[in-house]
Amino acid sequence: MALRLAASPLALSRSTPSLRLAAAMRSSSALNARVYFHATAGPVADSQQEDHVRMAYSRKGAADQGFRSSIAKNGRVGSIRAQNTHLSRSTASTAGQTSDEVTAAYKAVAYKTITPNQVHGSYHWDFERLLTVSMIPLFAASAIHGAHPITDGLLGVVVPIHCHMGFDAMVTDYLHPGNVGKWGNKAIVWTLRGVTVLALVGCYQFNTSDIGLTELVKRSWTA
Amino acid sequence: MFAPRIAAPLRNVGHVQTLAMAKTTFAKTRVMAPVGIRILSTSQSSQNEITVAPLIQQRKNRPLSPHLTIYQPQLTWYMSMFHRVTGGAVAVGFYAGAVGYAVAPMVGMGFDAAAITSVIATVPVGAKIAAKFIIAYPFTYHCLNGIRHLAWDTTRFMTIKGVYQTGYAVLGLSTVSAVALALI
Repeated sequence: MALRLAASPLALSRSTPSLRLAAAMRSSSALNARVYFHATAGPVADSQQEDHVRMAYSRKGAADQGFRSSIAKNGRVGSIRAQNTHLSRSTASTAGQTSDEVTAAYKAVAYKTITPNQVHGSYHWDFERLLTVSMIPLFAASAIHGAHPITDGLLGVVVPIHCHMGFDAMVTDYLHPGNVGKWGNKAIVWTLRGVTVLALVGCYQFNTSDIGLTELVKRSWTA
Repeated sequence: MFAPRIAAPLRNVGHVQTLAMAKTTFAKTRVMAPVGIRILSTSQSSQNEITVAPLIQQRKNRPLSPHLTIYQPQLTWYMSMFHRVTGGAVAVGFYAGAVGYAVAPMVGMGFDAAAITSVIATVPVGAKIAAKFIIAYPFTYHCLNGIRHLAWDTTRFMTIKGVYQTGYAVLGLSTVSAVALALI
């Protein structure tokens, strides 16, 4: 159980939107609500704070739901840090930081809370599976019918993207910031993107100015 | 360790610091601590250097517990590992070919379909069949296991029995089709 520490009274006068939100949360019987306030210095900070406050709040029933749905949305569990610390209801009247925040200075720098985004979560998963499924009839058509500009063109797009997604998964698993550092990971990811672009260009050039992917496989296999 | 009032500037420490938040950190340092209490002047990054950096260094020096070497060999994770390895291998080959074709004119290397087929034609038959099997087997294994993965994504075969049956089916089919492809 996290300790509730009193905040400076000056904090409470600053941020009206989050104050209203927090008051609403407090008045409800949210056992798992984690109430904490920032003082703000302007409208920009306010909107960021809203976002942050939204992230921090997790109501009692929604706490589990939020975590599970964010796993379903985001796929990779490691990218989200669960915010479900439960606090004593009796101290909900004062806003302030918890001892968790004080000890946050001791946590590894790699720990960062991220707002879940479906583009990197379930949409990415959907896209990956759709692409993979489309490869089955594409390879079948190419094997049965032989060279054709449309199948070759599609292969030249779909296969590099599939390879890129596979490499990206391997980089996320084995060459992550905890291993190779924040900039090492960035460099590797951007290098991979550059190489994929080169591969796409190479496939396009081969399909247009040379015999095409299917015909190449056929000829070199029976050479 | 830090009293709550003094720790007020550390309130933002666990989160990504944007410029606005950095400004508010400064504002809070001056505003929120009541009169009479000394305000911390150390910045967040030096706090981390003092407390966290030695821990990160020590973690790099510690040995890793055995994992892959001690876990019981099972079809499940062997096939999963092989799926990733074969995918990586075929993709590296594909990328090498595609990028090589894109880059070759700049380097002055003659790298096109005619050159490739003429080089292959000079290789002896036995070596050609062996090479074709070595190239075909990762490809067929990855394709068939990929279909197995897609079946799992539709929640089919999600039992121990289903996993093992489909696993053996993939192993058998991929070997047979690789041999068939090598003999074309």
